[in-house]
Amino acid sequence: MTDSLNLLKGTVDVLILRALENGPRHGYGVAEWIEGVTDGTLLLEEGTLYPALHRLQRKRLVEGEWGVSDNNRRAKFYRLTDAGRRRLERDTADWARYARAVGQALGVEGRSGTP
Amino acid sequence: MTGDPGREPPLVGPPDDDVELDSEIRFHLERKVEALMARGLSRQEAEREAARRFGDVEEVRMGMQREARLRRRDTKVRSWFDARRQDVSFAVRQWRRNPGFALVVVATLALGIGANTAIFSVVDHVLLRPLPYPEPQQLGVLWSDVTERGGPADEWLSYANFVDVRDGTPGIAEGALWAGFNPTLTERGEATAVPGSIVTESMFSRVLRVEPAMGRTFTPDDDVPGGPNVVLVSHDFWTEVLGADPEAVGTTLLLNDVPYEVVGVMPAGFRPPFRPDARLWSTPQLDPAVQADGRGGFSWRSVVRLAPGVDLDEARVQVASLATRLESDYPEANTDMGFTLNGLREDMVAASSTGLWVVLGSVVLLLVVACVNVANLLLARASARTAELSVRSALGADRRRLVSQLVVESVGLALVGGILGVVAGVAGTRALVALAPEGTPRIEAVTVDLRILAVTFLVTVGAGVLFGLVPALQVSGRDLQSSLREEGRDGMGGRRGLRVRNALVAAQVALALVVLVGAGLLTRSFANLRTADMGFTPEGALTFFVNLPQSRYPDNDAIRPAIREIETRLAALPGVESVGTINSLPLSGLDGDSNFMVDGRVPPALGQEPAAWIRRVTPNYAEAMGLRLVSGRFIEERDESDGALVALINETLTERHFPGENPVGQRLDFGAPGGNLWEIVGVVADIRHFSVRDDRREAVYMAFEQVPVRSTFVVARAAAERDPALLVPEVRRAVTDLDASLAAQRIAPMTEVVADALAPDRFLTTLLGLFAGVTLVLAVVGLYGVISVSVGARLRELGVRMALGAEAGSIGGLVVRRAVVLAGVGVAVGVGLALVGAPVVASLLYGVRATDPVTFVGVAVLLVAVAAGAAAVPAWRAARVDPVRVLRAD
Repeated sequence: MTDSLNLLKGTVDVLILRALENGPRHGYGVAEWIEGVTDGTLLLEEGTLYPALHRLQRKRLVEGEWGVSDNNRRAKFYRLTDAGRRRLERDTADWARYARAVGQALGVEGRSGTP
Repeated sequence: MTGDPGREPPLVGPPDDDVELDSEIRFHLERKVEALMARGLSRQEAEREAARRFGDVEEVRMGMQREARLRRRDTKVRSWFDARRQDVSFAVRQWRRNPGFALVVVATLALGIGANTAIFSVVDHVLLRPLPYPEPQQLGVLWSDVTERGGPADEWLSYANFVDVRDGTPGIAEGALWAGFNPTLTERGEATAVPGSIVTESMFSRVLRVEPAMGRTFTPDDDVPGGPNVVLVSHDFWTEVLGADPEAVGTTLLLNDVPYEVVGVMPAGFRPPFRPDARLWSTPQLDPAVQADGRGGFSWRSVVRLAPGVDLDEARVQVASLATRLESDYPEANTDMGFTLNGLREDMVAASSTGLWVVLGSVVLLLVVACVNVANLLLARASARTAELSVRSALGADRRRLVSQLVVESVGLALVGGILGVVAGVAGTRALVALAPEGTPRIEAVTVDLRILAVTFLVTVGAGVLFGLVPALQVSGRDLQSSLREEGRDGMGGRRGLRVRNALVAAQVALALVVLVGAGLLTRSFANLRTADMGFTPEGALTFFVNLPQSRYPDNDAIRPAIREIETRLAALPGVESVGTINSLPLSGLDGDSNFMVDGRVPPALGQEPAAWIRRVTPNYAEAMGLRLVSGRFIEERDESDGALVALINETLTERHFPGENPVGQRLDFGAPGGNLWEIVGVVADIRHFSVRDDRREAVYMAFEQVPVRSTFVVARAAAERDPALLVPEVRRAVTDLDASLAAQRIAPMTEVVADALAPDRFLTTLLGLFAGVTLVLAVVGLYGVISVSVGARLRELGVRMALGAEAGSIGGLVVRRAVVLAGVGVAVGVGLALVGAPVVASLLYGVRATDPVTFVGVAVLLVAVAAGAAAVPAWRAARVDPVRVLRAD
């Protein structure tokens, strides 16, 4: 855990959208997914997911609905809307470009990454 | 969009409340604890770890609450727009379902707005706008007032009197005279007559204060006896005749064979308040010494400019005191002569104003009727939908939504009607300008007024909101249970609503009656005018004006044979029956008068001499124009230049000056030099000379040979059954063949001259007829709407009656009777209104009184009959009511 990274501001949204890409999840599921796919590299204060989820909901990028969880408890599930899906695509591309550019500038990556 | 606009559209779900936020957090923590425990942590350890990983719960909750708040706000805004969008599409669906209703409302509004915009634009330009000169309110017109001699208050002026009044009245700073001047332009190919005026030098520079586009206006040096021949031309003349020559100033024009120097070009669009069609202006170069002798004459018209700060009333007082002084200074010429001072604009529009105000009044009535119609239709419709709205309301639809739907519906209709009304207004204004009779002041400058358009547009939208709101509130403010139970019999569909609508329809009928009576009176008056005996026979006569230039026809001995030759040549044309000459054609607006005394009678007091209009005719004039001889003989060939002077007098002169006497053989003294007297040889019928309306003025016909003039009209009568208009080219050619410097000007069949004189009456009659037609249609629509809705509302009652044995015929009769009673009430009120308004139109009427019973009764019967007709369809529907079905429908 000591080598975990603090999450960059603004990246929570795109991670949430990505987490919902393959189907609805509740907040806990989103947290689980992020932890799983990053092998715990990213240090996420799980509580911050919730205001983010509600913000995305306000922006109509996700919609939320109360349902029943796999172990029969009431849970709120979030689903990607069409607008959310489009935003995910755009943000993913932007993120890739950004990461490449920063990597290039820092000399981490060679000049191979020409667009 | 869902079909029921009463429901909120499903958005992304309602914003969560605090309980939900908490349970969302709790769920997360519980799952986390379970997961950690599954990995072997104790419950206590797991709970601590879960809390650590989650972070500050309170902070998270506040973040979520903030988002929820924002979402609630967003949702409100969004749902407002969604709701309006739904309202619009709902409204469109309603219109589609009932296109007749929407069409009638839209057409009603478009007609009302269009007619109003067009009429207001015209009235504003013609009557209300200030004239386009600096300080236009200081401009006025001075006339001789000879009412004390039995003459008009707006008689023309003599130069000497005008100069004395102008220079002796401190309140009048400047003043100029003008008179007609229509020279023949004899260069550049053909000879053409150019309409123009002569004006004294200060007219443009100091009275009207207009700047020329090129060159200069007149200066005092241009207007002295024997001064240079100078001419100012209009912008049109400059472009069309002078080819827009930038060097035009300083060139020479040959007018009546005399060279005139062009000193200036007036700006484009300059239309002088007098003779707006003038294309050139020159100066009279009067000699004050000579003019002093002609103080008693009436040859000039004027424009004056009041001194700064002086108003018309103040100047009038000064003019009146000066008139008294002139009377005592010049008793011979000025006894019983006063002066009238009018504002220039009022003076210009005086002749058109009554008619235009009547048109304006009727168009306002039309708009009111149109508005009433729309209100009524919307009310009727709301009541027809009361049940539907009540059900929807009871099923949980938001009342505000129902109201907003109705408002959107009516505002939409109003907007569509308004837009079409704007289109109709533009088209209508153009049509009016094209239709307006020549001489309507300033008509050429009329354009659609954007302010008027904006105002009418706003009025429509306002009307839409208002009309939409009343029924909407009616529906929404009611006790739903009772309306459901009673199916709207108490709402606008019930007795109270019906009473309101009945009153509106009756009011509509009353207003329609007023407009119809006005149109009826004008139509009857116009028919009288058209068939009135003019005293001559316009059909078959072709007339033109010819001017013999002084350079080629220096004196009477040159003029006489020229006119004889023109008559001879024209008479020889195939299809021409007879040709005569008269110096002032009937209805041409031209004439000149002279004082006279009957020889052998006691001379009247100074300034009391009677006057008569003098016309100079050739022997064939009576035949060519169809002038009727009453007694004695007409001018004949034997009345030659060196023979005894002869004259004919008209019936009016005979009645006034020879009552019970035979005038033939008596002699008239016109104060001619040498004491020459004219012997009366006959009496001719009165003719309509100045106006197609009654024209009872003394007139004398003299022999052209004995008193020739160089400008005269010639009348050629076509052979029976021949159209005189077809003779035009041959007549033109015959005149030019005689002398290339001559032109047959103002050539037109006499019927056209008469028609032109009737043009203002025709215009007014046509307009009012149109309005009356539209108003009638609107009233019929209103009646039909109300009757059919009331039948709809009473279907059950009618069904019960049928079930109890009433016959279909009597049910139908009941409905028709209702309509007739409604119309009858409207007619009674309308007759009262029309009688009050009658004096306004009285001055426009000819041969029919403003209270003409035929018109009133005719219009009343028409309206009642139309009301019965409008009720026929609903009556038929009522008579077909199937009692079983109606009663079962409950």
